[in-house]
Amino acid sequence: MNSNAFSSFRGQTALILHDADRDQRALVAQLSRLGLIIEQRCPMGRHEWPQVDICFFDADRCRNHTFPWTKGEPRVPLIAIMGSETPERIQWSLSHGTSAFLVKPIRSSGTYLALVTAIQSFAQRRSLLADMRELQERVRARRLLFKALLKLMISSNLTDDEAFEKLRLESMRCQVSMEELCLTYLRDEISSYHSSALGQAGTSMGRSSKVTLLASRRPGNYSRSKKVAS
Amino acid sequence: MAGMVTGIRSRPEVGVGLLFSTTGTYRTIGTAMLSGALLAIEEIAADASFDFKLAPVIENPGGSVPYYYACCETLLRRRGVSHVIGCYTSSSRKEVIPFFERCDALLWYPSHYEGFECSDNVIYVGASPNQHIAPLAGYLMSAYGRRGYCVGSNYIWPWESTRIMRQILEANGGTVVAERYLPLGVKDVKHIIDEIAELEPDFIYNSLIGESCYAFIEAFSAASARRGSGGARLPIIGSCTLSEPELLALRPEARGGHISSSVYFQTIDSAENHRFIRRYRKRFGSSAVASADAEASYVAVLLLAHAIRRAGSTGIEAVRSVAHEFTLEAPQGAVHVDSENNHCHLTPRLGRSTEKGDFEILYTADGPLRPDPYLVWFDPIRDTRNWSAIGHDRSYCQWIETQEMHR
Repeated sequence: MNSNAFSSFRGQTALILHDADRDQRALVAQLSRLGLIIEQRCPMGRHEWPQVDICFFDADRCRNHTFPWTKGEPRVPLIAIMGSETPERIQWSLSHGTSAFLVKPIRSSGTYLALVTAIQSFAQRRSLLADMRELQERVRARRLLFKALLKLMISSNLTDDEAFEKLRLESMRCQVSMEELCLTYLRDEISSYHSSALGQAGTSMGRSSKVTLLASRRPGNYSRSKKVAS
Repeated sequence: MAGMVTGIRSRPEVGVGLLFSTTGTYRTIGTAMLSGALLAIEEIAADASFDFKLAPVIENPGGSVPYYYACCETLLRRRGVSHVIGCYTSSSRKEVIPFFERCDALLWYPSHYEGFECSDNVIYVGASPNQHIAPLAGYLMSAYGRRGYCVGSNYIWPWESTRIMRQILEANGGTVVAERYLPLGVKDVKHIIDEIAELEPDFIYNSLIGESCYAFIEAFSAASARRGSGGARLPIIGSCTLSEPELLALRPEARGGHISSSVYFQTIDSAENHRFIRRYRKRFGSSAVASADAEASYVAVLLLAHAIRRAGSTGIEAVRSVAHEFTLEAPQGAVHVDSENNHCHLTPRLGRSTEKGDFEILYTADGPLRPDPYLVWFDPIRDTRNWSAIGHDRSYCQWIETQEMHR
């Protein structure tokens, strides 16, 4: 535990998109007690967004809000403040990636619960999405692996297990993923690498090849890889 | 004045609910709280500078949580009061708060508690966690060590206060060697004493209440006696709840040497406190002992009376809006309500119990400390160091300096 375990919200900025009324005053009072800094706007245009850590919005006026991100992929935890529990407002809030709800009239209890819930479920959702994207990439890259395996088996006269082990050891040595190694191996411009490193039994990749491999780790690799692989 | 009933007497009367369990497992505390509240009500009646009197409307929930709700229905709906002084356990307070919010009534809660709550319908007169748990943790760590054993009753206050104690300990490089809970009222504590003897912690954090607490301290004292002067000593017990009337419920040989963290001890040496004790004994008998709970209830009634006088009304909104505008000279020292969180600025103290049944005051804070119910501004290293036995323990000071260098 670090020394800030007691003050998880202190110094964080909350944006409140709500008209100045009794509920808004109750929310501001409770958030101040919890040590948050408060920004209040309503209504607000897409381009006026300040830097905030969490956002509360009035779900009763849901159609008035325009968030500056792709629908359903909020960049900060969203908490919907809900007066009328109509299916349409609940659905709108959920489809925009709301992490927690606060029911009107806002009381002093409930805000802390909503904050903790929103922050945790937002972080969980983010991490799950990141894991899912990584896995999707890996599924896409399986074809690359298969292609590289075949190429290595034919060129070096290896069994599938031997070829796989060779790729695995090489990816560990160069500290790159198997997918990246396969991509590099399959690309025409580094065919020399094929002959010098993986192509010859008993030798491993030279220093210059490692540099080439690492240099190839930049965004867009896979879009090119699709082209190479297809 | 709005909200007051004029009786036969010239000064109008304001009904005030008194909700204390004077029977049940924590009746000793409930009785002390009721006494403190009644004393203050009688003082207001005798003070001509108040143009009203407070009329007590007493309900006894007997320590049963569901019955607290029923008592509140009687007070707020049938008896028509809008101010209630009462509750001791956090479970009883949490049980009745929604009802107070629905009726828009005000609960004046005269007990220390674990924090993490802030209802607009409650004025919190007792200590917040930064005012009692933190000083106790700081002192126990510095004077005895950083391995704590936690034992408590099985409800909110012990769970939450132990969590805070554990977080403070861990932030300071310490550990909780075990955490045990007993149902309210259970007196079989042998397995707890055996485990403490086996684990040899540096100190015990005790959040047992009522009869379980007395049984534990008695058994602990008996185990210490069996070990004799030659045997290894059992660790020290630190509590935030142990008070004078409870010490008197113990055998004299079990009373002494326990640490208690509280904003009030009967032994506070001030003119205001001497006056309070004199009146308390005159009213409840020469053997009556004042305690933090009795004093907090006394202070709660005085805060309410001063707020009504200042607001010129008994209305909740009017009373609440002026409650933070004045400072009360209480037996414990200056007390005032924080305008942001409805909790009180109070002066933390640490005491060591004596065989006589009171507390020798070890430390007193320089002045009232701002309440921090959500521990937003609290730093578990910086804010416990103020309470360490600095000067008594050089190694702890050096260790703290090392920690500072690494931060």
